Amino acid sequence: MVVVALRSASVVAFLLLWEWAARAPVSFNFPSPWATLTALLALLGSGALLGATLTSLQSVLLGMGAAVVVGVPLGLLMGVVGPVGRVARVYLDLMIALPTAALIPLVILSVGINVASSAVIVFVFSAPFVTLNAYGGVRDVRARLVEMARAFGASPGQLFLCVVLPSALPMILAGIRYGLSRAFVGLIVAELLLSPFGLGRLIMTARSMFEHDRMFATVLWTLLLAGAALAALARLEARLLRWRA
Amino acid sequence: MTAAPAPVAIIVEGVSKAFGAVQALLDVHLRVGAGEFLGLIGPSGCGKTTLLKTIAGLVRADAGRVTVGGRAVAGPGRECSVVFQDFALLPWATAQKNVEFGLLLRGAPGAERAATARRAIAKVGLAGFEDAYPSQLSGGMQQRVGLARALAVNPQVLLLDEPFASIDEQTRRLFQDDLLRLWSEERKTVLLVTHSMEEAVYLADRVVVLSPRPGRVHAVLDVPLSRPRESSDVRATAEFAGLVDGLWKILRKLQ
Repeated sequence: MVVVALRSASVVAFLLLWEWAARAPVSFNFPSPWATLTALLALLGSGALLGATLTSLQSVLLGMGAAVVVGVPLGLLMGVVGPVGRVARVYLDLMIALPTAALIPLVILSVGINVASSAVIVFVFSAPFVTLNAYGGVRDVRARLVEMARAFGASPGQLFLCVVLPSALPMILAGIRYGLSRAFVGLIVAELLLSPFGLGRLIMTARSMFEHDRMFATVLWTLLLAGAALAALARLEARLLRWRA
Repeated sequence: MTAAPAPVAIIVEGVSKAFGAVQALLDVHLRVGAGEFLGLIGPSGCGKTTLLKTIAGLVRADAGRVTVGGRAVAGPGRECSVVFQDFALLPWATAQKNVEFGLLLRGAPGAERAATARRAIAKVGLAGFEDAYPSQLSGGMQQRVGLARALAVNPQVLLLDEPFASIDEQTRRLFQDDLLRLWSEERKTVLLVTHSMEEAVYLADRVVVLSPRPGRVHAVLDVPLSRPRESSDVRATAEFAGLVDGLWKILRKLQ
């Protein structure tokens, strides 16, 4: 109850602050919450937003799916086979530090300008986190549990399936959740800089026409999408990790 | 399921083990009779846990040999089950699934696994807690799950590594009595590593004292207290006090 009240209060406080910022002569043509909401409804009504959303979600699903399919097994392998982990983690650390946006011309040259090129950027943004978390999950497995399983005669395969994987699951899921929020950042960066479609394109068009209410509406919509996706993942996590309650 | 137990359950012959420069065990000799309850005590760092793990096949000795149930130990085998000081339960699995763990690894079919585990849980007095996760159980109850897991695979030998060390005194005494009752019903060979002199004397037929660095058998104390001890007030007798005192006199010189 208290949490719900606090959350509602924080939303109200945020909207008030926003309204104040829109009225104060802080910035030229900074849209009020009301204007943004109106623009959002108009965008939804025209169908432009839904079309862009579908295109963008394709890139997110493709890029994020690849990040999970590649990152989780790679991270597990790094954790189980020590030398692989020690070598690969250097590259992953570098990938995180990489100014990813600077790579975009390279991606355009090799993949072209399409949904796949945004997906590649999404992948580059999210995969290192997914991978490193899976790696960390394996490395954090309690040595005592491994010893216990060995004492009961576990084969290496059984040890992996019955102890290592379930031990690492919380960190794997946390990595996927963090990776997903990075995926949305990557999506907008990619679409702003390279692609003539998707939510990033809507933001760009609105900005170049000085339609700041539409621009903010699209950003807000993207946030809502990301928030919904993260909340869904958090629910899945809570279900899978019931034992932590 | 198991064959008739050999008269000697565990034979340790000339076992040595070093970790780097630390000589944990040096030329240890030990025989544990089938069905015997043996206590293993010694100052911290004397290698008692290392000896237990060597018998369990978890640690490979540098020299010497260990035989359990007539078979030379080359790795973890089906003869022994270990109960760990910190319980070592799978936090994501219910009590039931934790107790099934050893059976699962051995490929027992699901229905048999469930039934055997349920019986083991009832034996340790946890019936009704099958669906609880370890985090929902007290330390004493978690260790009961650990004991049930060890019993479920029906080993000849139970290796208990300071099983009561992280449990409060009251719970510990009740648990010790339950362990004695289970031991007399199941006729398992038990090797108990402990740092409590009272516990060793109360539970064991014989208490082996290890000396520290290098760990070797320093003394063996017979405990002629009559059984069953769990139903009488053994701890209050002069004989019990005398035995604990005798053990203390041996240990004091080793500190």
